[in-house]
Amino acid sequence: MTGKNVFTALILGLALGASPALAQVAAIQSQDINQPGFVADLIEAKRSDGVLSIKVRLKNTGTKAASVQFYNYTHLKIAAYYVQAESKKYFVLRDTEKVPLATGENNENFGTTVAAGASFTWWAKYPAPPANIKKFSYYWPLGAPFDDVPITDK
Amino acid sequence: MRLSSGIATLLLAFAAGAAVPAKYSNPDDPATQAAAREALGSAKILDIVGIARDIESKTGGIESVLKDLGAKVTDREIRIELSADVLFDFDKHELRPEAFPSLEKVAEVLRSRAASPVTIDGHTDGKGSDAYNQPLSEKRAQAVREWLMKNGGASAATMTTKGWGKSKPSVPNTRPDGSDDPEGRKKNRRVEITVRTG
Repeated sequence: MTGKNVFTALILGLALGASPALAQVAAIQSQDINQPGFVADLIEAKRSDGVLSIKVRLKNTGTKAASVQFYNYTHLKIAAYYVQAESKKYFVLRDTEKVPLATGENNENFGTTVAAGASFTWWAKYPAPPANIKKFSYYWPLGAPFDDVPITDK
Repeated sequence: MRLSSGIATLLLAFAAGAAVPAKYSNPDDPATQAAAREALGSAKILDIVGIARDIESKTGGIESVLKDLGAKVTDREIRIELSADVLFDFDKHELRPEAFPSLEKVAEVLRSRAASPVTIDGHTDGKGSDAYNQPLSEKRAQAVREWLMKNGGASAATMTTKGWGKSKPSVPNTRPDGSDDPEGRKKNRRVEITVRTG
């Protein structure tokens, strides 16, 4: 393998992990998170066929590539990413093989590296709250909850 | 496979942030969406009991109950009107089992206002004589009081009953042309529970 091939693979990998195309979607809500240099944009809260789809875009605003861990085997769990509406908590959907419908699903240990100025979009699917519920809070372990997030019905 | 391309694959996987190939890599892919819909059958949704209780305690815990009962709430009193047709059979003053859910809600209101004086007023419709209606309205009011005491944990000391017979209709028993109004009479057959709060 030539040096050029390695370079191509890296570029391709970065493009898959941190797609600049996704960065163009407008944020519903934004916040600084506990991971230095990252800003989180909640960019999708869509209800369709009883499923609530969530997307959160993490933007590396720093000058260097930085890594972010979404879950690991110890303290970061996918159960910490949940929707709260009225007095109920909605957890990430799992298929019959218990695989979560979310980014990094096969491995409960998931993180990624985001280049300076690039973004990474994390997604998950939840059972949708009833149609009369129009807003929810989104709890996640990387930052403060997103509150009063409006649901888009589709 | 040459070693070099193996490294390239590994690098690719690492840079994409997935050590194991992802089963669902695209949230908007129809297959992912179908899997999500299928997963709804085993969705995990939990009640947050603590928060629900907390909200209840802030509102005195009876807001939803008062709403269910259609209670009229003012600064001075809570007035609950129960249809006698739900509470009793025709000509009877023994409570029907169908009445119990409503009475349990009334009891909940009374328990939340344990020290407040409560009056229970029985009313009949305009049909029949006073000699018939008066005692019926009294007995019905008493039956409600008894139930609230025995089954609802309401205090006997704060509750008084009174029968009004047909003397205090809430709506006319007849239509403007003088003919009988069964709907009006139905509204008049009632037991009113008033909790004095102010």
